[in-house]
Amino acid sequence: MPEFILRRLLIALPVLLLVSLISASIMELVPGDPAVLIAGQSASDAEIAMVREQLGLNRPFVERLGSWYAGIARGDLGDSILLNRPVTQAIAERVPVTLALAGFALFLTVAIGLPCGIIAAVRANTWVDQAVLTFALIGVSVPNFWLSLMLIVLFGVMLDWLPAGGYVMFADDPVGWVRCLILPGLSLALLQVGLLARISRATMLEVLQQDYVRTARAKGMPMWSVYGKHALKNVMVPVITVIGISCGLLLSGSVVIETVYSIPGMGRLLASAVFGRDYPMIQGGLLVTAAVLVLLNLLVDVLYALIDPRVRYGQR
Amino acid sequence: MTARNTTAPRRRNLVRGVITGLSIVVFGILSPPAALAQKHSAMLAIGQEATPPTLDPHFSTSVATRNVAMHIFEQLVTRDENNQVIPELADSWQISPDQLTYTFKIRTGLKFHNGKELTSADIKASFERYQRIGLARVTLAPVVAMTTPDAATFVIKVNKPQPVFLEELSAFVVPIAIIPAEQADKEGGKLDLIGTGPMQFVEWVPDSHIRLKRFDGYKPDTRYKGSEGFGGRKQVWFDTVDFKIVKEPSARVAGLESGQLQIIEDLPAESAKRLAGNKNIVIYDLKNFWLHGAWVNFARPPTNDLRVRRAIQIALDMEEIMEIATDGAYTLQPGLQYPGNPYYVTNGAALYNAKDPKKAAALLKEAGYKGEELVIITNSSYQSMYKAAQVVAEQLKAIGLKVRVDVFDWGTAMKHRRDKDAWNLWFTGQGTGPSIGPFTAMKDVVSPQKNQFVADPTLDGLFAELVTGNSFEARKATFAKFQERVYDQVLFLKFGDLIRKQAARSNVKGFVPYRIPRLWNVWVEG
Amino acid sequence: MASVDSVALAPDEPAGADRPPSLWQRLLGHRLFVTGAVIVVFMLLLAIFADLIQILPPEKMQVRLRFQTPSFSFPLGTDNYGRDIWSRLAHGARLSMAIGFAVALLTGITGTANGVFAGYFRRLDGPLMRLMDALMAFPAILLAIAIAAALGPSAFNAVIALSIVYTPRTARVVRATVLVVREMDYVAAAKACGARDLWIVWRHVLPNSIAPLLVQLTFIFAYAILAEAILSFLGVGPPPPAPTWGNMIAEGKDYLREAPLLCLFPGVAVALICLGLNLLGDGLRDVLDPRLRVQIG
Repeated sequence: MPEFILRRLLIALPVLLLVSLISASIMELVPGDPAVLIAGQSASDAEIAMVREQLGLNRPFVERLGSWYAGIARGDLGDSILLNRPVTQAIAERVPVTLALAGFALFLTVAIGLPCGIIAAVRANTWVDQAVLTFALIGVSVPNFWLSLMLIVLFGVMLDWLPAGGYVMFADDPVGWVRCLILPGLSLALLQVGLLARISRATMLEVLQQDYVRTARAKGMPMWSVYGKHALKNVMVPVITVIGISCGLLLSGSVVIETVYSIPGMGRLLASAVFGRDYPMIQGGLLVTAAVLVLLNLLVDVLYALIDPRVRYGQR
Repeated sequence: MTARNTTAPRRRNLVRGVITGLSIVVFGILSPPAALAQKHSAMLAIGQEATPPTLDPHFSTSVATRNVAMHIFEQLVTRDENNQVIPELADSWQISPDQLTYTFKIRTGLKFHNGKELTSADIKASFERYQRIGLARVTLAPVVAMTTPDAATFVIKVNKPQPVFLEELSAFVVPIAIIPAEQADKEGGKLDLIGTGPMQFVEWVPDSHIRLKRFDGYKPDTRYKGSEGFGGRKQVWFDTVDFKIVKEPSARVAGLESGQLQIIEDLPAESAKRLAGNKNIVIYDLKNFWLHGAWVNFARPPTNDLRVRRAIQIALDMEEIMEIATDGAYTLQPGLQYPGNPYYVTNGAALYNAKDPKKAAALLKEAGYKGEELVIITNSSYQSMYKAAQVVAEQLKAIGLKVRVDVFDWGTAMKHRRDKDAWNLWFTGQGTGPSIGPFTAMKDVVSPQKNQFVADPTLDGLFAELVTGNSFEARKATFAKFQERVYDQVLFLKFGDLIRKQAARSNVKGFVPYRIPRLWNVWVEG
Repeated sequence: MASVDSVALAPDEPAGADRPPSLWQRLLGHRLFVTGAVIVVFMLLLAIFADLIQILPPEKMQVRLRFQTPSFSFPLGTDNYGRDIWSRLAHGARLSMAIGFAVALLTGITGTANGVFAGYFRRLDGPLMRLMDALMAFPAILLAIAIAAALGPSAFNAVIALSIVYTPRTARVVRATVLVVREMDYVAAAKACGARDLWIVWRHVLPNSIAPLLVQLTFIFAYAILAEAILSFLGVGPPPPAPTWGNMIAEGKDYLREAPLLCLFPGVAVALICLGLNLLGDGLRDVLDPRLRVQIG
């Protein structure tokens, strides 16, 4: 196992190097310029040149890339141009918010998706099953930013039950924190709920066909104990798969959801960085996000191995 | 220049100095309003539409920066409610008879948020930093020397008479905010936010909020009765103020309706119609907020031909453009200044809002238009510009032009504007510039700026005439000629003026709408 | 995104069939596939005949007829420019589906090329798959936004951006098939007979990859439509006045409270076409390759 982890880590290194190169060069292609943005619409070329110099943007790309890598070695991702603070600090401020949102969405995913999928499998080909499948299909088809807008209109404005956007810290106001997270959490979770419901239903169905389950049923073991004892354990494999994928999807989805709901998390940080041409912020943010995803995938693989020793590591 | 002309502005300023002195006496004896205690409340939340690029007032042209920074920092001189120059940290000033020396007396006993007393050394250091990194540092270009004979005196010497020098010093597009001298070495955007204003900085959580708290060491300027532009007498009634960054207009409105936000800037006009009957909400109309229009590029076909430009100019129906762009919150007028401004003129009106597509189409034919693509650049960051561009595109297609609309975010759009081959019409809104005088509008089209990319000696000459014009009347006449020229050559397509709507809960009292929401002298009742 | 099977909803067996049913028979017997096909075909017709069924040109503005509620003259009402929503929706179907299809096609080509080369030529496997891993490591939407912002907003650039984002997913599916096929006896036999690598790829490897590829591309078609809507919504999609569904939602969101229908209709359209494509994909997978149960893309 340690050898396996080590090998995966070694693979991750070139991936991260590529990630950093890609993120740095994409932004080099973007035609906008933070200096123009800061100098304002009446600025002269000389004034813009001055701002560029202040921001350190007048150095050649290779030189900036070089000093960026040198900084990474020291754990320094540079300073954000627009936020007036180190990139690492900006990320550290935002990560808890996105983690809270993603964690809440993940909780909803498992709490709704897993039972739905299992019940659908147990009651296969009944109206319950049909309803779950339809719901799951709608979940993976509805655009979540649009759903967010509709939820805001309905619950945030017309009914006025929940905040239409914004975020409060858990430490400041725990109840407000939960209220703030409900709509964005639901919007974000819907897709994953659909996925998880479908995958756990499929796995459960397969498990129910297995001989040992049939035998157990035949021996007269109560139904729910059979499910609990044998089936659930097998269902865990796809659940972990979906959770692994979900982390990527949640990060991706949070870009839009955090924008729509005005939540100050990583997704919004990076989206505003792209639109504000905050190069160090984009490079650093993408690198950290990608690194997290790579490590998460590794973690999922390790969990697999622990739960299901049959998983072979020779090839992927 | 005759001797009589040169003394005129000096006398006016001296008179103002005397009036200032008098007002100290008059208002100094007026005690602050009674029932102070009831006005105090813990907190106010205002919904702001954009994240400031920085809070360093020397290093930003953004309205979002001013929204917050003007509560933290103050200027030496500023503008009053009617855009006239007034003293703020200055006690008074004198201009030498040769108009080369400005001597400012500084108010004493004022403190920075860090407890340090304000002296002329801080003023000088602030000006020096502005000279080094200030985005509008061209303002200080005529300065040849700055000295501080004593802690309460600040002297500026200029190279030649500058009739509009004080107007420029008090402008607030990029305000010359006064910072502690120790901060003067800070690079642009790296400033510690310590000022003399009535509120002090607490925290900035990007994309969430900026929190300020009342500065208890603040001494309200008793020369004035109440708010005067960014100056005047300022009293803060809240312990803390949160500037919440809520970009989505619908979310801002929802926040106001539910009471999470007490004040919002930029209430969408459609929401304003709906909220008109709501007893809990008061809507404030801020006329003359933005002058909507588009720059015209003289370098790229087909707009290199005056006849094509004229065709575009007379084809447009401004009512339709502004109605859709602003959802009805607009006024139509041809001027490049706002009505009521000292420099307001209507020259060129005959060519404004002609809505004559037939004649335009004929003109286009006469110009031998061969179907060259007309590229419109607009942006997705400001909805009214985005919408205006779409309506203009439709109107121009109707007279036979081949039109392409490119939409970028604001930053990219600004970058593209500098490329003379990239566009024909560039959509913008001019807000603060026209409100503080004719200079910004003119600077955009004279050398070396030249939005149109083709130098116009006539315009360059008019600008020189404006800057050196010795009487206000002379300067205004120059500006009239300038505006005439803009219409004649079709440098700028003026659409109309946007009415900005700000809104507050009805228990918010004392709120007077201004270009930037001012949170001093505002309190919450009940 | 994953595409997960629904075992219980496998095709209904045609009763009393003497010989195995043909592919078409099996597909037509698959209830969900048929449902999906009906939805997709309906949208396709909307897109193809947009010019015929439009009430007004989609860009025609009527300043006096803004915010009309649905009526006989304007079945879905008008928007804030006074443009007919029904006509825009139909033309939006054309644009959105064209973009989705182009992304699926382009991804199919690049993904197959990558997958085949990585899977068949061992030396290329490492570098190619690391590149794919690197692209996959970015949050998909963020990468698409960054690329689209870099290239500039246009329909063509949206296609490029989304194809880059979705290529690794296709490449992985193809590579997995290739890895299996490569070890087959008949490939070894062909090799022994001196067949060239490229010929083997063309003759044996590609045909075997088509089924999983087709399934995957159907889903990518759906994701691409969703993602295009997001790009347009954020202002980096095809520029206005192009009536893409994303643009319509973005333009409607300012009037969410006053005129929610502006946002409602295009959102329903996106959801409907994605639903149709997902059903189609599920059905295809059930019928073409039941083994591909847990295909995570």
